[in-house]
Amino acid sequence: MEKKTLLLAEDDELLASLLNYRLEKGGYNVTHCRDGKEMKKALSIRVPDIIVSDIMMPYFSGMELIGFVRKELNSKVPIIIISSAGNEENVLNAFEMGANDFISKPVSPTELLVRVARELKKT
Amino acid sequence: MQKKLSTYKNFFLISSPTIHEDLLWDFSILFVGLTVVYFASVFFFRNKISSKRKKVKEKKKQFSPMISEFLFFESDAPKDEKSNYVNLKIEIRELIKDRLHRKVLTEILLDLRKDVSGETQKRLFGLYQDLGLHKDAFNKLKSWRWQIVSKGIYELAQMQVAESYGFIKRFINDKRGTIRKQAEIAIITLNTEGLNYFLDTTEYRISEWQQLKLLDVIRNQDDFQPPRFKAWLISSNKHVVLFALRLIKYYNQNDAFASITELVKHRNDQIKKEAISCIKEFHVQEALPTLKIVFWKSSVDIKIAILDAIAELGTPSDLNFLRSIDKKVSNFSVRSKALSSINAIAPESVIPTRGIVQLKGNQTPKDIVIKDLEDKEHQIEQEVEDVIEELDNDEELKPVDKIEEKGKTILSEEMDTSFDLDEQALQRDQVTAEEEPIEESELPSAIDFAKETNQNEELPHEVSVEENDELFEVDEADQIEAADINETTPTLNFGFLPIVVNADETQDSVNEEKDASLNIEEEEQDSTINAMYEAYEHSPPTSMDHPLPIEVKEEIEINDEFDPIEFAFLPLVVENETIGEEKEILDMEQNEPSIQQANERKNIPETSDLTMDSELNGGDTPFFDFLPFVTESEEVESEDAMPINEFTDSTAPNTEEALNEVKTDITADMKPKETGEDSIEWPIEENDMPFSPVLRFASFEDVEDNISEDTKSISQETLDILSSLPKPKFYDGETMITMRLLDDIEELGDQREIPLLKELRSKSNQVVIRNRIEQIMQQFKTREPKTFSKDTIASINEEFKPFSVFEDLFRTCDIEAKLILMDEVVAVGDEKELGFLKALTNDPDKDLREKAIKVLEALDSRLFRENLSFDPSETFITDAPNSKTDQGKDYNSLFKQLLSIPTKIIDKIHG
Repeated sequence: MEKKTLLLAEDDELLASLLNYRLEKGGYNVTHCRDGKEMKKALSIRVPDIIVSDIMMPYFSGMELIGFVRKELNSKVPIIIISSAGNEENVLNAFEMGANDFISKPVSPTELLVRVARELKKT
Repeated sequence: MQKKLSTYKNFFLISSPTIHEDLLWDFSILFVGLTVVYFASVFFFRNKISSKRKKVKEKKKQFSPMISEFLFFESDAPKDEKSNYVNLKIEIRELIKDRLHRKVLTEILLDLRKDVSGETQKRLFGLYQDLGLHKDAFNKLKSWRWQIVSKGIYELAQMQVAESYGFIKRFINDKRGTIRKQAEIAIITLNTEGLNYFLDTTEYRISEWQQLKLLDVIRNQDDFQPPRFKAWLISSNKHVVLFALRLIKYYNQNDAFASITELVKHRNDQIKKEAISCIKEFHVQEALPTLKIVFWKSSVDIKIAILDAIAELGTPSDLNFLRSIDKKVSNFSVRSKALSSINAIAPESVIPTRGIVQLKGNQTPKDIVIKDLEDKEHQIEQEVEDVIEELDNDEELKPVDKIEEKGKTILSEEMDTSFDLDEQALQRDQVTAEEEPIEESELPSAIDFAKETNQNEELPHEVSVEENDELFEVDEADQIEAADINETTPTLNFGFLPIVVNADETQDSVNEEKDASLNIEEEEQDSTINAMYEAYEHSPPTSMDHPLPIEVKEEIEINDEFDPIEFAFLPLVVENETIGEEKEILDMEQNEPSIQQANERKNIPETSDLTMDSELNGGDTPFFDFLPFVTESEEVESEDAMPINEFTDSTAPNTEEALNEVKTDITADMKPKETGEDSIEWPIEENDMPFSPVLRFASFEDVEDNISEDTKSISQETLDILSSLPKPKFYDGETMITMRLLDDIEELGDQREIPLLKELRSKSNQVVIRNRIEQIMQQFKTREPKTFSKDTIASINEEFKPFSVFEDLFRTCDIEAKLILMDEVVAVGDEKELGFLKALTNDPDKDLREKAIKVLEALDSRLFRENLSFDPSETFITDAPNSKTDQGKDYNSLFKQLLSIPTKIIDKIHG
């Protein structure tokens, strides 16, 4: 069976590396982007099966990214947002923009894996 | 021109200082050199730092996958992964030998700790300690530099190294603030008892920021059970007290009211403020008197806080206090707060007075008639009058206060002033009072009046006295008006009032005892109220159409012990035939609860009628408290009924189940097991059959029938099985013993037993025994001679060696007791003690060893002497090797050897 593709946008390299490892181990084909620019570039080449993105990122924030995916790419790809604790306002905005789910930092990699699987199941 | 020359006349005297060019050059070179050195060092260090950072970054990149591998490794991983994991372990062990690598690893783990949670975080903590990175942190604690120590504490706390708690708590009272604060957070993080220890031991100030941080740590702790923080309200450290108060408020620990109230008197304003805040939060009404006392000597902030609390907790009885503040205190904020508190307790009590234009003085031109304006003026005047009247009516304290303080006026006069009545109106009222029943609203007001009188008595004396003088400035004006009214109006008959008793004595007391003392007045007042309730209580059952006749009031007996508050139910003026019944029930309830209960039981059918009556009357009568009894009786009935249903319902499925169980049990027992021949058991007799499931059956007969049917159905099978089993053989006593002996010989013996067997065969007359002997002899001819190995014999000897009583005693004795016991061994011991004493000769204790040798010699010699007095042949017959029997045959057989072994051993061998 072909692996599902996942686009991970996270500027914290350590956390990204950890999540990358866990998600790959969970059976996903992960593409990691360090900032919004890279993310846009990757999205313009190919839209993945699911996107996991941090809200706060250099160049383009997670919110802008959601707008880009939903409006410009007109894609319904599931988007999971990673936000800092106590950033409820951003989360609400993200949901309004079209995010499917969110997970707050500190992240439990196992929980993320479950959420990703759930979102993919929905599609 | 001359002037110009004179100006420059002395010009030659001004000259530039002579500086040697060489020196200038030297300086230039020096500064250039310094600049070069400076920039060079800046570049050098910058490069060094950046290269180090780069290196660290690379290392982080290198290590992070390794750490991920470690964090997410699972024991059930495939072989490749496992081998990879092992290699990584080896690699990382090598890496952590380098200091930089350890530092990088620590940084990575600390960074990841913030970003991950759950199981991953726990693994992270484990990995930190597995790699031994916590040792570096411990070393940091030894540093003399505060920043290093602080970093060490931080690391240990972040990575949850529980064993560091003991080390870190030493820093709780460190004189260096940063270390101290870090240690405070760490010990609370590391141990649930850390907070207690911290609050118990800290001697330093706990800053506001630190308190917030500590609270944050506590909040985020899993399974944190907050201690009772009131324990620290008595701390000598005021910051601890303050923090404890905040924690009490945060965790809603409302069990320290007395301490909190006492802390209002604390000299520290912060504590005072926090205590007031707690009082307000927990609604501690009992603290109000303390707050009032503390108020006068407090700062403005505290005064405002107190007023805020009073606004929240206060009652109308506190209004006087608040008004006195308005009069006495000059501070604008405090006065404003006092007024707002008054309005909080009694809304609209204080109305705006400043900046209000007096409309009466305004003269409007006569030619302009504005009807609306006139109406409005009139309306406003009316409203103001109403408000004043309302205030007078509301504050029923005033009359009593006046009596207390001045003793000049009496209650009746005050009541006159409080009602703006003319004679006609009074007469009209008198008539209507005869016709109308007692109004509900009148009674509670009277109760409130009595209550407020009591409350007023509780006010702090000094405050109330001061207040009253001022407070009644306005009231005095009212009094004058009232006095005017009294002068103009004739003496009034107060009989119309439903409150006032119409008895002659009461009337006399009103008229004659104007100058009586306060107590007498109060008694009369109480008695009046009591009489009123008594009158209501003792009134015969009347309908709404027939009001209470006034004549009844004359028959009233004043009961001093009567408590009007108990009759709070009185406002329920339920007036129909049921009242008589209700009163009866009430009497029964009050007098004889047992009778009441009996009646309740007796009148169960009637209660439903009563309930209906109550429903018809609005259903709001307290007399129907017994109603649940009816429900209970119903429940009892239903409960009685339930078990039958339950039994029948529950037994239905159970019967089937039980039958199935019995069936399966029986069939399982009857059926031969598949394990083989050895496991076949004798059929169970009927009497032995387990029969417990029957207990669950509805009737015993049913079960019996069921079982008998089952048994019949399988009896044929059982007979078949029985026929296939070997039939038992029964021997008589002697034959059985011989057969058993032969069985033993068969099992243990070999060829050497053949002579014995032959002898037995010749002696025996029974065919069975002879056949058996023949069978055994045939077996022995083909079997190899049997021998016991030395080890077996040694083990047997070891296991069954003679038991020494002293050995047992020695296990629990100390050395001194052992030495004493050894003397006893010489006196009473026998052969059994020899082995034990021999063992003692190797004892590690020198005294015991020496004593054992001596005792052994002594016992040996004693036993030797004793043995001399016996015939040795009697004792050691069987032990003699190669001994001959009477018939001269060689019986030095294995069987003989076996006979010499105690029966225990034989049993053991037989299993």
